[in-house]
Amino acid sequence: MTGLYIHSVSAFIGEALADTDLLKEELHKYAQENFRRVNRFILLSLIGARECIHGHSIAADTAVYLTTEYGNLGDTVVVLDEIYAAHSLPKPFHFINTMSNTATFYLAQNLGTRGRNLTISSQYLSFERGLDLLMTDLTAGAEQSALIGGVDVASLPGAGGEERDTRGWRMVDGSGWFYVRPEHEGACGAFRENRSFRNEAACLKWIRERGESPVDVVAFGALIGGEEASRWREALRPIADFSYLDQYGYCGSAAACGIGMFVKHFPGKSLLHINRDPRGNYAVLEVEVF
Amino acid sequence: MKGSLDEGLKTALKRLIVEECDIKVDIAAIGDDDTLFGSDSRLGLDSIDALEISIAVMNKYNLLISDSKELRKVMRSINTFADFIQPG
Repeated sequence: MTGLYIHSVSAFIGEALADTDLLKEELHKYAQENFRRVNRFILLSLIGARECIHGHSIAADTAVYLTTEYGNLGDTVVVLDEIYAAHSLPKPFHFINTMSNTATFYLAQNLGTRGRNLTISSQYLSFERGLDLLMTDLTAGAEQSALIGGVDVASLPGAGGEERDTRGWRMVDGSGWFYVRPEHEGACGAFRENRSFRNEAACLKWIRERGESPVDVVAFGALIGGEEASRWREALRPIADFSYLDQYGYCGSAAACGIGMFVKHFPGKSLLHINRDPRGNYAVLEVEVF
Repeated sequence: MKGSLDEGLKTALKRLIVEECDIKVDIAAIGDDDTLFGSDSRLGLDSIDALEISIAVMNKYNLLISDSKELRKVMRSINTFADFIQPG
């Protein structure tokens, strides 16, 4: 994988269930418009994307790839409750916001872009799969620049508002974004590898056969347990671990946010991020920060 | 009493519009004869706002406005809206 250079990055982590007025205040740091009819998911998408391109002028044909685990599920729950539990009509804008691509519509409208506009979800590997698709589009010449991000809300209405997930991580809102282009000039980092594997053995085989310089830092996705992480460390012998889930908390897009944090805070280092889904498929992402 | 003469009802309708349409406007600044919809109006409400308000009216006042032409007529201003809710 070459030619996917990161020209700017953002990683917003918000408190779970924080008042949306606080999110609007955060958004006003980057955009002065009055955003109406927006929900938490859309606000998070706007905050991350606007922070990412803050100070950059982006081309009108810039594509938007939004990756997410749950998307606008919060509004979907509200709408279904209105229809089936309360037997009343849902609010029209709640209903509109249940459509998966609503957030990218708001992004395109606010950023003034007319390029490709996609929402991508793939259980536990949404960011990696979105990046895969983006790389294919860039290689095919379909895109010249893109904003790719991972956005998820912390917890669902009615789920009890738990502050921590069952693995002990603090639950947070997350929005991590990358402005990527094929040109190296002016970049702050690069996605060097994005590989998919059918199982752990195939992933380990590739890592052992790479024969490249040692990785500076390693990080693991939410489904990689402690014992398995130890096996990967033994194989990779990294200088350090980047435990973004312990440091910043968990949401469905924790990988995008964690990688964004790494690019922001670790200049001159490289990161190997190992992730897996519940079926045992693996994805390895290598990021170099300049 | 006609709705347009009922200050309490008009204040309630202004509050309903501001809350349902998520508008950052002081309700005291909305005039009873101000145009509510369109780019020329101070509030700048649009068709989705109209739908939003009509459902809120149905839930709160049990009144259905099903015809879009009637909706535009009824929601021309706070006074016309109030007279629809409370014809007197």
